[in-house]
Amino acid sequence: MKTPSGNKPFPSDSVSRDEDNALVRRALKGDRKAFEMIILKYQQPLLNYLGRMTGERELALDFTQEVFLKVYASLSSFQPRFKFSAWLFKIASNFMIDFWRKKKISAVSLDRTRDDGENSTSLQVPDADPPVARKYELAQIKKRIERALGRVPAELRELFVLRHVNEFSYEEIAEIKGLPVGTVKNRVFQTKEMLRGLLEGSS
Amino acid sequence: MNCLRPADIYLYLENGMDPAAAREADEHLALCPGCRSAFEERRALMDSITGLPDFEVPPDLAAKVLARIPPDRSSRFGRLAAFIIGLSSFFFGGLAYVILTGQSLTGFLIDAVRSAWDVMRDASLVFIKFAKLTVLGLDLLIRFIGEIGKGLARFGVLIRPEIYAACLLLFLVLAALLVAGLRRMFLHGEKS
Repeated sequence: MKTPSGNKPFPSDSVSRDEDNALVRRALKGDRKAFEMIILKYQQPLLNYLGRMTGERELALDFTQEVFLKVYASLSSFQPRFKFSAWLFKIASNFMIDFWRKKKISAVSLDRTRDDGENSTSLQVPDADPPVARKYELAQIKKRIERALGRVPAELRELFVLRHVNEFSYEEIAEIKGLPVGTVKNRVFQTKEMLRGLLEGSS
Repeated sequence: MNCLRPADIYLYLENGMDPAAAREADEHLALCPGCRSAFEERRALMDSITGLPDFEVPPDLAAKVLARIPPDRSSRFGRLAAFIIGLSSFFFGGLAYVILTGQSLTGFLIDAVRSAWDVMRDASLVFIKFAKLTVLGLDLLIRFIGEIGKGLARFGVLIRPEIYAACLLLFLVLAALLVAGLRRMFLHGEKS
């Protein structure tokens, strides 16, 4: 999965897993510092996921808090044999499903909210150091992709975000969503083709 | 090799193909301009979609979440507080009872002990009845399984061995599916 900073890799999958399990054990004993470390580790990937699912940064920030509270309340049900990050995103995914169900949002278009001024996405420019013109061009491309992504149905967008923003493996996504791996792969490929079509249409 | 489908190209780009299939795809891409062009298009898309920028996390997010978590009741302090509150309630409750009823403190204590004893006795009776019911239920279950076993043995004598094996296999598959479903339901974390 993508790292908290978005750039540096986790030490290794198994080390990260052991660390997570140790933090959960400590948090269950009432150690708030341990839960704070969990939040600091996962706030960035979780916000990236919820931000792209809602299309609004402020709403995504509220949801991030809610999901962490749900995670805290459910910590005792976490089984250490499963990967903590996958478990956390399963909770986040269920949270989004509940939200859509309550709001009865048709999962089709979220791009309108993405265009509404600075408050909508407030995305940062990547770390690389290209010349100003190239930087601008890159930012424009990323914006077009974000906009196109907002027009993809939510069920497909979610799988795409988990794969290409949060960088979960197909197997992990299958575990989070309770779908067969083949279905996940097909839907992610389908989303990419849809994005390609939307980008071609907008260029 | 046939022309590559978009799904094959994505699989290839993500190194998801097995080595033999990837070699075949390599060879095909070298020979087929159409697939080469489709491949380049998808590669450009993949380059663009990887590394989408992060949303900015406010520095006080963790503090905000922690502020909404109530103090842990299971902590040592929490347990001590609960004990002190319980003891104080008993003391002041008793005092109020003595003042209001005019009963002596000794009488109140005797009544309290008697009430506690009654509660314990009733709870023990309920527990014993529950234990008896559990034993009876288990006995019934064992007999039921025994009867099923006997029935299956008779059934096995009556039918051909292949059909018997097929039925057994079907039963095992159903049992495995049931176990897998229950495991998924109960052990896979939060469901809400």
